[in-house]
Amino acid sequence: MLTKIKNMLGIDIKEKEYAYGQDDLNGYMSARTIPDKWVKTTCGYCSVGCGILAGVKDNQIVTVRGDASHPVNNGTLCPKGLSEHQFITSPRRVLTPLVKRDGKFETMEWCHAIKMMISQVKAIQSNYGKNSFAVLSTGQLLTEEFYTLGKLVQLGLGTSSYDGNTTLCMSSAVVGYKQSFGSDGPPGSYKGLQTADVIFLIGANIADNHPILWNHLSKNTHRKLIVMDPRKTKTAMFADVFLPIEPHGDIAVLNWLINMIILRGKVNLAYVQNHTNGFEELKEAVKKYDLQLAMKLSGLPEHKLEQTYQCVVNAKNLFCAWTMGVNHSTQGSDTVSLINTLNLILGQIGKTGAAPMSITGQCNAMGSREFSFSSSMPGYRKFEKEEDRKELAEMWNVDPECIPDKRGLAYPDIITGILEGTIKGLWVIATNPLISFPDQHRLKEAFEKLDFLVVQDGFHPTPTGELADLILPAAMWGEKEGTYTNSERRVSLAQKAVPPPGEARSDFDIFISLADEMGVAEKLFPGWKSPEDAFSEIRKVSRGRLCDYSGMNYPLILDKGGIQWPCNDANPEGTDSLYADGYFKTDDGKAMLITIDPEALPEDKDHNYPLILNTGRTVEHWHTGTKTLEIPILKRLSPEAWVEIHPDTAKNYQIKPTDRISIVSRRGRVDGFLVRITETVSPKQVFIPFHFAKQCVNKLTIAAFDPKSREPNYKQCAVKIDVFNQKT
Amino acid sequence: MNQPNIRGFRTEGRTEQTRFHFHMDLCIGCHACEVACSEQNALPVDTAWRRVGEIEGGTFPDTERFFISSGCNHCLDAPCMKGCPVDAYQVNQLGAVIHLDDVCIGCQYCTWNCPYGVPVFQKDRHIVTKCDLCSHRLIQNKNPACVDACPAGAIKIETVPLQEVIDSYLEAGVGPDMPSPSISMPSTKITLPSNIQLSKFTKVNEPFVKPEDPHTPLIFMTVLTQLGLGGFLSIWLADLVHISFSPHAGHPAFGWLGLALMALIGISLNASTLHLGRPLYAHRAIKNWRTSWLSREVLALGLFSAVAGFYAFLLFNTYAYTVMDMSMLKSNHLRMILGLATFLSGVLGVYCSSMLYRVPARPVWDSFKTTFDFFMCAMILGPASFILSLGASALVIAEEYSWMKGYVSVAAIIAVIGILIKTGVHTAFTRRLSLDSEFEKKASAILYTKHFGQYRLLKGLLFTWAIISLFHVMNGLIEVGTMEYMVNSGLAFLALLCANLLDRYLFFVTVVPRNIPGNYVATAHNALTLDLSA
Repeated sequence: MLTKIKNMLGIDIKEKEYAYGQDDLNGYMSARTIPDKWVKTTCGYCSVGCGILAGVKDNQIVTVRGDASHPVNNGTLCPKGLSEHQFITSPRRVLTPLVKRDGKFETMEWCHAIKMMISQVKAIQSNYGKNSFAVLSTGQLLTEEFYTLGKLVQLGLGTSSYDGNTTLCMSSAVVGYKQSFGSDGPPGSYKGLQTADVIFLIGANIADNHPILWNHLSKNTHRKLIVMDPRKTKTAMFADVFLPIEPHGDIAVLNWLINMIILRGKVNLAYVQNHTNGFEELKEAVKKYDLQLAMKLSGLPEHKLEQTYQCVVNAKNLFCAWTMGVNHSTQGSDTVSLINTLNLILGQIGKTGAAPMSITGQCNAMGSREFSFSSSMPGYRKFEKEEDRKELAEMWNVDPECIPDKRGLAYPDIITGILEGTIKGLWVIATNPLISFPDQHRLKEAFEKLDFLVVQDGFHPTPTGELADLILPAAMWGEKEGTYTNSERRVSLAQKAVPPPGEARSDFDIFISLADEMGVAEKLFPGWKSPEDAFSEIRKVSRGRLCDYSGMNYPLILDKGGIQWPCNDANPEGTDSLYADGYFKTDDGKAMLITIDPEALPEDKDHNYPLILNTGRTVEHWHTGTKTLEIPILKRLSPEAWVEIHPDTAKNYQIKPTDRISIVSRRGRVDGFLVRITETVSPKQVFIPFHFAKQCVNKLTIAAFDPKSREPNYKQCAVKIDVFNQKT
Repeated sequence: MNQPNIRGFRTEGRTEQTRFHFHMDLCIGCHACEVACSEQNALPVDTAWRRVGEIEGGTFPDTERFFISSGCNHCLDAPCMKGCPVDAYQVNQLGAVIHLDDVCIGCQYCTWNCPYGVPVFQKDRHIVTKCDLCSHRLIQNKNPACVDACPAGAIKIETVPLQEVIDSYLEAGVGPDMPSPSISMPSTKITLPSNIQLSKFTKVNEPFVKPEDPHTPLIFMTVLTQLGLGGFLSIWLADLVHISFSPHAGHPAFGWLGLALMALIGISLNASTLHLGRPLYAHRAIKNWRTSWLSREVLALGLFSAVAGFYAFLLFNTYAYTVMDMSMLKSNHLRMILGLATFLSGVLGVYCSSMLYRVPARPVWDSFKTTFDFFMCAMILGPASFILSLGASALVIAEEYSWMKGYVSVAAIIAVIGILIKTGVHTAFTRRLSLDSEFEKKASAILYTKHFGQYRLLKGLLFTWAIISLFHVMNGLIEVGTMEYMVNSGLAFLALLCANLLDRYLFFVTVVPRNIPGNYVATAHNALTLDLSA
């Protein structure tokens, strides 16, 4: 009552709450958020891997700042990183294990939850076979956790129906690298963005999606920037040459460039002869890509192609980088290899600023690629290679026979397996397929067929969690310790700043508990108490491999602000560029020159569905919005989904900015989209961001996958617009 | 355009100016500066001291899009500071316009004055807050939070000779689809992308508008003080005529009406403090009478209510002889002079009142029409209240009232003429707004005619009702002193009062302030979407 009166009269202006004070490190700032200590850690959102200082006060992270001493971000952060601590205290954090009984979730003791999970898994596996229980992991865990999980799944549970959501974003880059270089591993460094004189961004909108990479690019004052993208993105507006291509036009442009380089005698012949195979075949294959064909397939005018050619061949250092515009395609893997080919024939690899560089998605997609034991074996070892299996079996002290000789089911094939009834149980870790997987209708059908679904996540409810039988509450960023590897192979330490909320446990602890319950803990994880124990084994397992961690330890990583692998006795400071010696990880040490022809889209536009739907990110949000939509300021900045349509499209459909519209594909319909009529999209396309559960764009996308990488073709499917005026 | 040298801004002996230098050619629109500002100052989510907007132009694929990140522009001729009634704004040694939180009474007048929408009313503190250039950090040789956070290096801090800002603000402060720097002399320098064609760009959030706060206490305060002016003027004029043939002069109707008007003025002035975030400190509002129309309004209306109070007392005393038997107080001359004083102070009050709305940051208000409207309100409501009071007294006192007929007719004619002129001018004005090329004017007209069309219709019906009733009264179709007259004039007055309150409500909610461009989806979310093509 008294406060109410005080408030009404305006006596209390909360001067204390909004007072300022002096922080030793940060200087003058809001007194309320001056921390007791700053904990050095690494951002848990994207693959850029920025150094963060988490301000801890009373066991809470009260504020964050960019770590000015970190080589990746030099103190800057994107809006997600700058507000990362805010999701920790979200009321939607899940605090105890939950079990679904009669359609309702009830809390459960941890020991019962672990017992229940293992007994359910055993029951399913004994009835339907080992591989009938599948595991869908993520790119969000720490490397130590991936390593632990991989061993637990492959050697403990004994199922190879195991993949991560990294297949939804990075698997094409992995396959593309493997095809060209014999191994995964992005060869370049961010430094290349600062030093290269020509930067060629292919399907990469880094200004929106990796703003801190832009920090590097913005320091490059002598750059020529080429941006190839069907949309005029924030990144494209800075391009010296913008190439607004038709779908798969990138393949045509790259082939034409390679053909021209060959025809006009600009090939680095010495490099090609000494370090590559397949040049003659390449020459033959690209011969048909003359100007006419390139123009026809890409939709680009001659002068833009010629400008691109001039930039590329005259580059002292050519830095080609791509993200999902390339990977999210049924031809993603081969397009990646084609980009590698371009750099290879010009000899533009193995030095700072010259690299075909895949910019990763999630904070630790790289760590999962290195050690998760899903699409390959730890340390970039190949399932198919007997010596690799033997080597690991020996180090692990297990029977080589229990290591599979080929990879198990990939993510989309696990979903198909569920639909076909061969997979009965599923464990989903730190991912939210009910927003992120293409063709949601089909996915939901699959999830409803499961006998047992466990979801291990930091939040509940999530669209996926709601379908679960068991929820395991997980610790999140800031609440656990381990390492992340970023896009430039930099291993950085994420430190624990605060304890997990409620009874939530780190994923590492959960995996160890499950191993204990199964009785395999001593065998697989002898004496392991903390992620650092896993890290010690990672160092051992990676010794001599391309992703060599043997020279790293936690204090050193922390001190250096991350270390780029390989880090070993020969390179104690880490390595800036891979393949500096021109020796690749193929059998004969030579890289393979690979090309492909553009194929038809899995679903092209037609009379009934006359527009191509393109999907992507927005700077304020992270993937399925599970974290960022819990953060008030990010939610204010970007509160709902929208659809970008060209003014001509708007005119055709008589759409005004006042309308709310529906987008319809053969697989579903989503209503009530806010319309943005804009010249940033082509008249043939529409664009929708994918973060939002309510207007989930993946109800529309197509379940078509790259045959090699199994990555979904998110970037193109056919849609039409339905106009209806929903009052706003 | 006004020239700078004579604008009388407060340099306080400074020779240098520290300012933001925003590189529009570098900004990638990532919003990191906004979040960094929020972290630095621990602001609530709805309080943004820095914002990022987007502009777009050209056709695909040669589309151009740019972003504008803006904190406070720390203007040399800062309208926030000039308008602030309590002197809560100061310029510090860096040249930053600083807001003194403990002085602020939460009147929000600065939020109306700033063409960039910078000062924000922070609800949990009941006061306005804003960007202070992170002055304390600058003094420690640290950068403002937004500067440090920007991944693209687009926000810089620089110290330049003050004269340089004075000489160049008209060019340096220009941005595409941004308020003109001539309004406030912003110190911010904007480096535009090379070869940019400013006219090609529009802000992407253009069709989206969130109606402004109705400021209910102010609706009542303005309308009732204007009623007061009109009512007292009617009494005074009637009294002036009346003394020429009545030996006693004065009339109970005048006394009662005077008292009623006084009560309404008193209540409305006091209630208007509820509009403040901190009503307890309302008295501070007179402090800055030198430059603030709000201070002047408070002073002038205060004077009006004091003079009118005395006048009302005399009017009442004149007929209720018993109250105070002093011959002087019964003097017709004194009453007439006091009536004149009431009229003049009322005119001054209503004029000041109207002037405070005429700010360049709100183009629709920034017009003679605002002053015109406020006086028309007096012209309509005054006679209507007078008609009602005569009827009431005739009914209650049951004296000879045939003499009233003339007064009533004249008053009704004045009111009807007032309604007709007001409506005519208003219609023409709105039409002109709807054809205006300035977004804020056109948008306001669309809001008024389309989105608040039902209120406008209701207002029209009320005016029509009142005109019909007044027409009856005017033609003597209804006898003064009858219940029918009473009901008719009462309803007419009520209809006019409601119509004017509604009119004032629309005045507040349909104004579209100038602002920097916004971010598309955030502005579109839960906003009204204007059909600008119409």
